[in-house]
Amino acid sequence: MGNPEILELIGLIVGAVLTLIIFSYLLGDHILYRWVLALLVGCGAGYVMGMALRFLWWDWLEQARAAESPLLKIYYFIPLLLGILLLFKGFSSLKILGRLSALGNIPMAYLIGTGAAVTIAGALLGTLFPQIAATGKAMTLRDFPWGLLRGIAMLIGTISALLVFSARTKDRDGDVKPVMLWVRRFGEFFIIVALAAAFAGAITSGLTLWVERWAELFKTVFYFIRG
Amino acid sequence: MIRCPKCGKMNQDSSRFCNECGATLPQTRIRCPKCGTMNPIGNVLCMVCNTRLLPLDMKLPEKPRPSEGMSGGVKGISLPSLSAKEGTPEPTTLPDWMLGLTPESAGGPESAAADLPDWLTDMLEETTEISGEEARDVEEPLAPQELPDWFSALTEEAPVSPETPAVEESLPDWLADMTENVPDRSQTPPVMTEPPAWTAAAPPAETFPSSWNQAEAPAFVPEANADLPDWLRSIADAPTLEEPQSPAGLPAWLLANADAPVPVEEPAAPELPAWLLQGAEEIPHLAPESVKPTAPSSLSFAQEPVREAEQDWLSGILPEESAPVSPAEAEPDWLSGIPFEEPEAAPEPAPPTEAVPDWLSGILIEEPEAAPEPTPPTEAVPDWLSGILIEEPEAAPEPTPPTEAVPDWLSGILIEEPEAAPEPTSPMEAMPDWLSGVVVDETKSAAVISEAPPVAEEMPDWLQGLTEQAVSPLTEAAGIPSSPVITEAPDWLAGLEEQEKERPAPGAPVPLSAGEPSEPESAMPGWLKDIVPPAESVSGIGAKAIVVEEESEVEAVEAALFGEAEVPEGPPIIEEAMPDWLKDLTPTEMPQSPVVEEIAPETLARAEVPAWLQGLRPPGTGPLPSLPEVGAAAPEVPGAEGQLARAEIPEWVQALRPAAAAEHAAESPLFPDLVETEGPLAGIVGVLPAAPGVDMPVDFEPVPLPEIPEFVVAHAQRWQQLLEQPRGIKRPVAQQRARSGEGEMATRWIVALVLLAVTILGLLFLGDMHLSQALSKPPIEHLSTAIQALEPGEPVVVAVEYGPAEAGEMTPIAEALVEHLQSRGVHITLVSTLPEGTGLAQGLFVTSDVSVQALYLPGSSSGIAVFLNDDLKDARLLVVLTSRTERLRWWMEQNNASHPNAPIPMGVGVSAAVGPQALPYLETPVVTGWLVGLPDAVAYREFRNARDISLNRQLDVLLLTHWAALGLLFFGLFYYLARGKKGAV
Repeated sequence: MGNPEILELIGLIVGAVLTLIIFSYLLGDHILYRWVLALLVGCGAGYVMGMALRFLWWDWLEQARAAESPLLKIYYFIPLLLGILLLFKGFSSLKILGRLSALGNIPMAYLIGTGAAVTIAGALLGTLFPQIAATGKAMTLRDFPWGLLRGIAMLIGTISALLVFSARTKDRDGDVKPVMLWVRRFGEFFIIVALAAAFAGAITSGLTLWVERWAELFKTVFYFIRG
Repeated sequence: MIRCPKCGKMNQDSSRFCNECGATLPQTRIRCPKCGTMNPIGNVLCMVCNTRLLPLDMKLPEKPRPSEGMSGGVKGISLPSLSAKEGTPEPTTLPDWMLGLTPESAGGPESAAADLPDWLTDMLEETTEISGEEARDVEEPLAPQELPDWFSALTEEAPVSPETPAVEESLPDWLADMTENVPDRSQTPPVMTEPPAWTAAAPPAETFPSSWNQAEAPAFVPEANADLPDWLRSIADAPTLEEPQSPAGLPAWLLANADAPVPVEEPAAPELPAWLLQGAEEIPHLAPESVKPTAPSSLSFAQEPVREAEQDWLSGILPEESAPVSPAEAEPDWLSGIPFEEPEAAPEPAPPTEAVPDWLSGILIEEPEAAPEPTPPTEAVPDWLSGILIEEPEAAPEPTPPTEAVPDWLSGILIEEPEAAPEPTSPMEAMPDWLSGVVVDETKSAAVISEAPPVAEEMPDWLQGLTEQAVSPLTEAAGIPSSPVITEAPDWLAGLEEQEKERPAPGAPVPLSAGEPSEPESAMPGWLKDIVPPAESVSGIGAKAIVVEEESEVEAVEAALFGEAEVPEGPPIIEEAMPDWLKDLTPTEMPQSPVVEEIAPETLARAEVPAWLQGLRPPGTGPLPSLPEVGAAAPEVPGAEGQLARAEIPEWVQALRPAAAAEHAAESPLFPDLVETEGPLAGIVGVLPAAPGVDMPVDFEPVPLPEIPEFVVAHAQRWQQLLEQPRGIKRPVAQQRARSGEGEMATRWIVALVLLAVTILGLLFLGDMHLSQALSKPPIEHLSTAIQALEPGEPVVVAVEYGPAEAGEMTPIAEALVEHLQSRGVHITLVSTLPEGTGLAQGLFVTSDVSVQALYLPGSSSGIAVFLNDDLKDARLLVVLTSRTERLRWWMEQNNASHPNAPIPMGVGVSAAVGPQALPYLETPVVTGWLVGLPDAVAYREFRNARDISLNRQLDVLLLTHWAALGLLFFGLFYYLARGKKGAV
C-alpha cells in the first residue's frame, strides 16, 4: 500500500483535526462535534462488525467446511443454525418473517442461561467469598495499631454501607429505626467517600487524556515544523 | 405498546406478531397507506391526510379470543365500533332475564311459541289471520328515516292494499289489540283490526271505542310481525275481533283482577269522539270514506305521508270489521278517540276526525269544511277522554274558524262544551279497564270530584281521573278487582292544569265531570267529561296553550303538554277559529278534583304482577318497593289551575300495578315513602330512584374502608394546612435557581482557558522540571518482581480490555508491562473480549520485531471461562489491562472459578478512574501487583530504570493541571459561599 510515512502523516493530521473538533465543544454543541462523535461510534461499530465476521463467522465456517466427519460438521452447524434463528428476532414487525421471530427465543434462552450460570458462579467464587475473606483479613495485628484500626474501619464501613440499602433498618411506617439511624448515617458517609474517590479518579483520567491529546498535537505540529 | 393476548408480553405498536410466542397481535393502530401515520383503530379517515383507512366493504374484525394461558385480561385490543345495524348484542351477552326475550336466544320465531307462557300460547292458538280484503291502502309509505323508530317498525312489513292504508298494519300490537273490542261510538262503525291477544281476551270489545274499529283495517298478517320479539309477536298474532271473545280467553292475570267477566260481543264499529270528529271535519283532504289519520302539520313531521303513517298505526289498531259494538262499552274512550278508517260497509261517511287521532288531527290543516254528521262523541271517545270532552253525539259539529288553528289534540285539552253532548250511559263502561280506574266514574265522579282537592283542579281532567278509583266494566266483566288509581299527577299533566287556570276560557267552559253535559257550545266528549269534574274548566289550558297561529302551534302544544307556563307570544286565541270540539273542551268550571288523601289505601288494590313481568326483573335486584301511601297529596304543579279532572284509571289497569310493591312498601328499607320530586313522575310515590335503587342488589353490603396509616393522615393534614394558608403568608417553596446562559458559558470559558494555559505552557515551556515524583509503591514493586521472575518461553497471557477512547491513558501502562515481558522472553498470548481490543493489542507490538496475533474472546465472561479452562491451563502470569471494572471482575471471577485451588497469578493495569473501584479486587492474594494510571506507569519505569522523558513531561503537566483544577474548585467554593444562600443551587 502507500508510503507508511505518508500514511502516518495523514493519520497524525486527521487525528489532530478530530481532536480539535472535539475540544471545540467548549464553544458549544455544533454539527462538527456531532459528526466526529458519529464517526467514532460508526468506526467502532464497523470495526466490531469486521472483527465478528472475520474471527467468528469466517473462521467458524472454514472449520465447519474443513470438518471431515459428519458429526463434526453437525457440531459446527448447530451454532450457525442458532445464530440464524437469533437473526429472526429483528424481524418481528414484518408480515412473514415476524412469525418466525419466536424461533429466536431458542438461542436467546441458551445464551441467557449459560451467561447467568457463568456469572453466578463467578460472582460467588470470585467476588463474594474473596471479598468477605479480604474484609476479615484486613483486621490484622500485623501493623498494630494502625493496621488494626484500618481493618476495623474497613469492617465497619463495609457493613454500614451495606445496611444503607437494607430494608431491615426501616419499620412498617417507612421510618428508620432509631437504633439503625446512626449506622445508616455512618454507612452513608462511607458511600460518599467512595463516590468522591471515584469522581476524583474520573477527573484524573480525564485530565490525563487531556494532557496526552495536547501532547500528541504538539508532537504532530513539531513534526511538521521540524520535519 | 401492545400486549400479547396469549402470553401477555408487551410488544411495540408496529409489531404484528409477538416477539415472545409468535402469536398474532391485535392491531391497536392502523397505519395510513399514504402518510404512514399510526391512527387509532376506530378511525375511518387518517387524522393527518384524511385518507380512507378502511375499505368500503370491510367487515369489522372479531374480537380475539383470549387464550387460557393469558396472564391478564384482554389488553392491547381496541374494540371496533359497530354500526347500529350490526350492534345487535349476541344472545350470550345479554343478561339472563333478557335471554328469553330475544328471538335468537329463543331459537327463532319457530321456537318462540314454545317459550311463551300458557296464556300467550292459548291466544296464539286462537289467532286467525286478518283477511286481506280489509288491508289498508298504503298511499305513500314513509322512508324509514322520516319516521320514528316505532313507526318504521310498525310500517316495515305491513302489507300494502290499495283500499286500506298500510299504516294500520304497522300498528303496534298493543294498540291493535286494543281495537278489538272497541265499542262503536260512531254512526258508522268501522272495522276493527285484529287486536292483540292480551287485550282481546281481557277487555271486552265493547269497552273499546268504536273509533278504533276500522272497516278498512288491513289484514293483520302474522308474518308481518316476524321481526317482533316473541312477546309482541304473540300479541300480534292474536285473534281478530271477528270471533267472539270469551271471558275464558282472558289471561290469568287479567281474570284474577277483573271484577266481572267482560261480555264479549261482536266488535263494534269504532266511533270517534265528537271532539275528534269536529277536528277532522275541518280537514279538507280527509274524506269521510277515506279517513286517514294524519300527523300534526305544525309539528316537525313530514307532511301527509307522515300523517298518514301516523294515522295508520292508530287506525290499524282498529278492527277490520265494523261490527257493531255496544257503545261506550265495547271500546275504551281513549281508544275511540283515535281516528280510524271507515269500513266499506259504513253507510255514512265517518267524520274526518274519526280517522285522525287527537294529537294528530289538531295539527292538520284546519280549514273549515262542512262537517259530516257527527258521531256520538261520547260513544266514540275513550273513557279517559270522555271526561274531558263534552260529547255531542247527535248534533253535527259545525266547523268554526278558531278551531282551524287549534290542533285537535290540543283542542281536546280545551274543555269545550259539546253542542249536544248526550250523557253517556256509562262512560266507565266505555273506557278500558286500565283507564277506568283512572277515569272518574260517572256515578261517582261528581261526588268524588267535588271532594277533590284543589290540586286536582290544576290537572288535566283525564289525569284527574287517575286519582280516583274507577270501576271499569271491562274489569268487572273480567273479574278483575278494581285497583287503586294513581293519585298523583305527573308534572307535565299537572302543568297543564295550572296553565288552564291562568287563562280564561275562550269559549264557554265545560265542566270536566264525567258524563255531565256541559254547555252546548263546548262539546266535550263523554270520555273526557267523565274525567273532568263538571265544575272545572280547562279553558285556561286551551286559551293558554293553544295558539291560533300555525307557527306557534308547536310551542303551544308542547306547553300544554309539558306544563310550560310560558305561552308563546302570538295573536290571541280566536275563538271563532277554534273547532267546536275544541271549544267543547274548554271548561267553564272545573270541578274540584277528588281528594287524593281521602282515598283509603285499603281501597286501592295492587295489581298482581304477572309472572312474565316478574321474570323481566334483572337478576340481583329485589322486589320493587311498595308504593307509598296512597293518601299522599299530589304536588302542586305550577301553571295548572286545576281545571282538568284527573283521569280515572280503569281497574284492569290498576290491576297491573305491582302488588308486591304496595305490600312491602313499608317494609322495604330501600325506599320508605319515597316520593319523586321532579320529572314527569313528580308526585308519584314509590318511584324507584336512580342508580342506587336499581343497581344495588338486595343483599348488598358495602365494603369497609381500609385503615389509613397515621403518617398518611398526617401528611394529608399537613397538605391541607398548607393549602389553607392565606396568600399573604409566605410559604416555603422550593425554587430552582434559574441558570443564566451567560454565566455558564463564562464559567466554561474560564475553566477551559485556565486548563489550556497550564497545559500548553507546561508542555512547551516546562521542560524537564521534575515537578512530579513518581513514588514507588509495593504493588508496583511486586509486579515488577513477578515479571522479572518469569523464565523465557513461559506462557503469559495479556488481556487488553480497553478501547480506543481510553488508549491515551492505558497505552503507557500497557507499553511498560509489555516491554518488560518482552525483555524476559516469555511467550505472550494477546486476548481481548473487545473486538477493538485486539487491534490495540497488536499496536503494542508494532515497534517490536515480534509479530503476535490477538485473540478475540466472544461471550464476555463465558468466553473467558472457556479460554481459561481449555486454552490457558499452564500460564504463569495473567496480565489484565483494562479501563472497565466489569472486565477486571470477569477475569478475576473466572480465574478463581476455573482454578479454585490454584488460581493463575495476576498482574493488573487499570486507569485512574477504575482504580478506586477495583481496589477491593486488587488487594487480594491472587493479584501480584497492579498499576493505576499514568503516575504508576512512570513509577514502574523509574523502578526498572527505564525512564521515558515524554511520559515524565506529561506527568508534570498532569500535575499542573491538577493544581489548576484544584484551584478552580476552591475558587468556586469560596465564590458561592460569599454569595450566600441566594447563589446556592
